[in-house]
Amino acid sequence: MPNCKEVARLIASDELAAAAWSDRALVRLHLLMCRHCRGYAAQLRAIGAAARDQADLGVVDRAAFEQLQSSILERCIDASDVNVEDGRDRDPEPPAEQTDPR
Amino acid sequence: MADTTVGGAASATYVDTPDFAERIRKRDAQALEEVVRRYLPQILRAARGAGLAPQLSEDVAQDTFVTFVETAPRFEGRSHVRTWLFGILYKKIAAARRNLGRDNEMDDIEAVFDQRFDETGSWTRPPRPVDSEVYDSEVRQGIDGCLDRVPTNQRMAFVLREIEGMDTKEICKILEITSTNLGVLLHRVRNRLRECLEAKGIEP
Repeated sequence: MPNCKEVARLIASDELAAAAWSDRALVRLHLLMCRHCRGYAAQLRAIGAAARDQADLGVVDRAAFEQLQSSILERCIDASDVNVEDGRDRDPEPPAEQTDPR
Repeated sequence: MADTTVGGAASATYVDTPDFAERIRKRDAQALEEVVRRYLPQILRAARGAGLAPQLSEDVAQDTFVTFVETAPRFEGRSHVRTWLFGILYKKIAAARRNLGRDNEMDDIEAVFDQRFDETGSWTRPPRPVDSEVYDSEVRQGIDGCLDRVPTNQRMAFVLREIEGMDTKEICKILEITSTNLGVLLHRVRNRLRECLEAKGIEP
């Protein structure tokens, strides 16, 4: 039977899922009998949930997001469309398939 | 059968097909746009979650996609697009946090954890059971300041696992670490947060 320290470490490291089923069963049994470890697991769950809530609150406003997205798209498409007809931004490295006939 | 793992995670879709990988390699504008539209919200949220200020998060998100496009010809499609993107993001965040002097602070959490148990491995000061919504809301208020003092790799592991709900395999690829390393990081960050909250008087 694992002790509290071992159970706490398995829970906090997320290594329980990868443990052998017999170990998982022993941990489950321990948790059934030990309210301290149950409390510990519940605290870690509350911490994770709080982090998720905070992250969702931290999302930038719609307008700022749209602006950022268009700016990124502009830069990315600029970087990709180097061969378009106006030819103002020629890629310094020619595409690989245009091999130099020699 | 639906994916029932925590957070669903890998989310293999058509952006992860060989055809799409080929379009990314060729820097097909539509494919790149699709990647930006699909993953920008997640990338931005992770950058904020990693503790960067709003403006810096936007800059880092922008840099991440620019690097993604620059390195697109090397994308072999062996990992998910998202995994590749987050790998880039992680390096940018690590660099940004180094510049802010927030990296690799002293980490004594293992010793603190050890002190929580006696020689038989039983709790010396047992955690109390969580049974109040007061605790939840206090944790929500206290957690930001506590995360600030966490080293980057631990913080990123926590963000990808808890906020983005990724599976451990994908996180290992993004952070370029073994599953044992990841276990250590998660163990440290969660215990550090718990200790920090407790030090602020936030207990169930």
